Amino acid sequence: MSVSALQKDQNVTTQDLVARVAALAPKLVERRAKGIALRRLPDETVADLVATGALRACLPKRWGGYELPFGTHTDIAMELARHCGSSGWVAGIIGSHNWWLGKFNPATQEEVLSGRPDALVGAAFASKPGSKAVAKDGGYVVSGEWMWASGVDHCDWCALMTPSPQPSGPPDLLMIMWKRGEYRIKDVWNVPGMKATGSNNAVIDEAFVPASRVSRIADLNSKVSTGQKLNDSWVYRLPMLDVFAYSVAGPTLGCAKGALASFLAAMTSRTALDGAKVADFQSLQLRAAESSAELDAAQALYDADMSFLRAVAQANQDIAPHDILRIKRNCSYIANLSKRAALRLVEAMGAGGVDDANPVQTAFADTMAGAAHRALSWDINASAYGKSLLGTQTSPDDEVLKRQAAAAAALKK
Amino acid sequence: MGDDHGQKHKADTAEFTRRAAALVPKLAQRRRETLDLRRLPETTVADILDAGFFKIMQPARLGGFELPYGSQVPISAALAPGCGATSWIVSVVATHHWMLAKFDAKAQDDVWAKNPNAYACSAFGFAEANVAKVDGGYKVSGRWTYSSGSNHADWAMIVLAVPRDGQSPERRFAMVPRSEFQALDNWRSVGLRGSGSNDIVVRETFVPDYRTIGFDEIDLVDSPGTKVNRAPSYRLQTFGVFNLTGVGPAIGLAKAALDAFTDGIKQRRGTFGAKLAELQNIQIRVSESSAEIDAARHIAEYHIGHFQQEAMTGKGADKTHILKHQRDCAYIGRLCTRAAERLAEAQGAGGLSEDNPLQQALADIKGVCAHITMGWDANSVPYGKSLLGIEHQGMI
Repeated sequence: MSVSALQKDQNVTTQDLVARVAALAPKLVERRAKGIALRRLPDETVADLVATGALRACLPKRWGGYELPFGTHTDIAMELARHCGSSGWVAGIIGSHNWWLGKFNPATQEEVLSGRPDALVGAAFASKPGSKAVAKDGGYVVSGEWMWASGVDHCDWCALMTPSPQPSGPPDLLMIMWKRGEYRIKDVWNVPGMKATGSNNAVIDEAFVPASRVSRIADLNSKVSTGQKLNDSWVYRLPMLDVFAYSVAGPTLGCAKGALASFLAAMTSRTALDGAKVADFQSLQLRAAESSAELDAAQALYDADMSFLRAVAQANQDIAPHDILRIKRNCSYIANLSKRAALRLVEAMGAGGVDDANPVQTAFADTMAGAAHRALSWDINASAYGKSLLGTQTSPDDEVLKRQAAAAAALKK
Repeated sequence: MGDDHGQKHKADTAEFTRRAAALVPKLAQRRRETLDLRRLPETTVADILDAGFFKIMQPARLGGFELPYGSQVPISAALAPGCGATSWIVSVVATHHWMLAKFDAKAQDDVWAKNPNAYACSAFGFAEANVAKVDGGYKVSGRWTYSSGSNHADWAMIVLAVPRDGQSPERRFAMVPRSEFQALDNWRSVGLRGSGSNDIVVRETFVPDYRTIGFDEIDLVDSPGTKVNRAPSYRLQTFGVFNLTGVGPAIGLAKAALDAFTDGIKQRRGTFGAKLAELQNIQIRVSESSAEIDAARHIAEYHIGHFQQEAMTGKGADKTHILKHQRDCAYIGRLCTRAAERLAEAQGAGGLSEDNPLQQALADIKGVCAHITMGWDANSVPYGKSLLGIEHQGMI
């Protein structure tokens, strides 16, 4: 899009963007099998997503984005996931990166986004043991392997969270931006669900990166980061990692909603072997009612948290630690509700329900795979919130938070 | 929002919710007394009347506070940690008073003109009833069942099944004064024991026409009472919103169960000295139960918000939303039941005691969920049918 066209486009709302991606539904459904076979999104799907502008929902206006509130990208991802789980997932992930790019090192923002509002930026947070960044000559020497960068095959850039060993204490965590070609993509994504997300690994054998491509996780996970001097909107006043889980909870819930829609479409007209209309069975009515109640409950939690986050950001407040844990618990609980809702439907479909070609099966497998994201781990998030509720000390998971807090304190000095 | 449904009422609901929370310690002190009485103690009834909880949705022209429909949810929920039966009766009676505002103005005047603190219990089911249309009204006798608060109420709102030639009986609500009914002493239950939900007996009384209202009339956007009660909430259709009655007590009791559990477990050590709060299984239990309770609360808020909008537009409810609301009230009941059960089963022998507040809350939640509006099967199937394109016959 030209710059003038982009300017005209500035009054776009969340509803507009959701409507634009909803219009892609028939194409997405048609390409579902192709994406599964490719194990990444078809190129034409990525082109369609880019053309809607929806990936730029939360990108700063300065770089040609719509600068809509955090959560717009998850509304978009949820809508897409109702039709194609992998499309929703990748849109949610890349959409979230476009949001936190507004918090990133200003020099990186300039390099990645200036004149290129549709640059696609992937990311990976998990790395194999030994992956590291060692400080050297105004930058870092980096080597390692990073897991599961969704959509990486289509990306122009990829940000990798990298531990940087310190003389004493825990390593500092850095987010380092790499240009396509500076890392190798390793094809590892062989999975039962979210097949078309192409969540492959990125490998860096040994390479130097200047400090201008680096942000500290502690900085990004604060209310106001260094990069926000470029983007002073309240939209960016949320801690990157603490709110991340919603970027994957949204599409996961969308997948389960898709399972319900496909289930209802199939069951409304189906007859049993003896000719009975299966929709008349009270067992199926109860299944539909319970799964729909769970999905509406998940949506109610999602809506309440999004309003809460927006209010906190607009008031320029920090999120209280207990509320951060509550939000993470809610994301995991949304994933649990989504899994239960989808399972209850697919298990009523007989052999047809395990057929790869059955959209309920695809949506179920996508729901399970989406919910497998670490950010949605019930055990981790429920334990941490439970500890907080019971007033005991921090959970093992909070070791990460502690390290970030220490790093943030060091940053302020 | 325009009109009185805006900020002023929000503050009033908040004020009543504060009053409710302030009453909790007193109610908790009377827990044993209430259980033994199997009805609310006189002192509790006096406290309720004093605080004005029964009047929250009563018309302003008759001394009520005319808060929006839905205000019974946070207010009754705030009472629940003190006493489940009190929470239940407040929600139920406040809802009846909202219904009574839809009756003919004269019926409302009969109840409240001389005594704005008068209140009505109700009994919609009956074991045996004899109803006949006579000149100017109805001849009524019989026994109606499960009338919460019937020991003290000044009036009873009962359901009449009026025989019709060649058709099923016509159903009407009717107001019967205290002098015309007696409460039996037959409420012996595990849950909501203190609610005194006894049967009531009516012996040969006459109910004038104006003290009755047909199910179809009370379900109108412009029911007879809206001629005198102009607030938007009275334009909500009765059966589309009525199921909300049990939601406040259910959520309040589940939250009370969670708080009782966490407060207790923070101090406790296992037989071999381990601090129980440090056990991951306990952490996950409280986390899951709290997630369920938060979900229940947000679902309720969604519907209350929906009703307030519906009241403002005054166009009545759409059928899909009625079914969804009906499903969700029962789902809230399920969430709250599970939340309390998950905690109760981690308590051991101490958790079985009637004097254990968590055990009591669980029993009361089961009492709440035994109500016709809260049962999962009956209330979820109509929505399931609508999803599957099957027409639901009969009342919802």
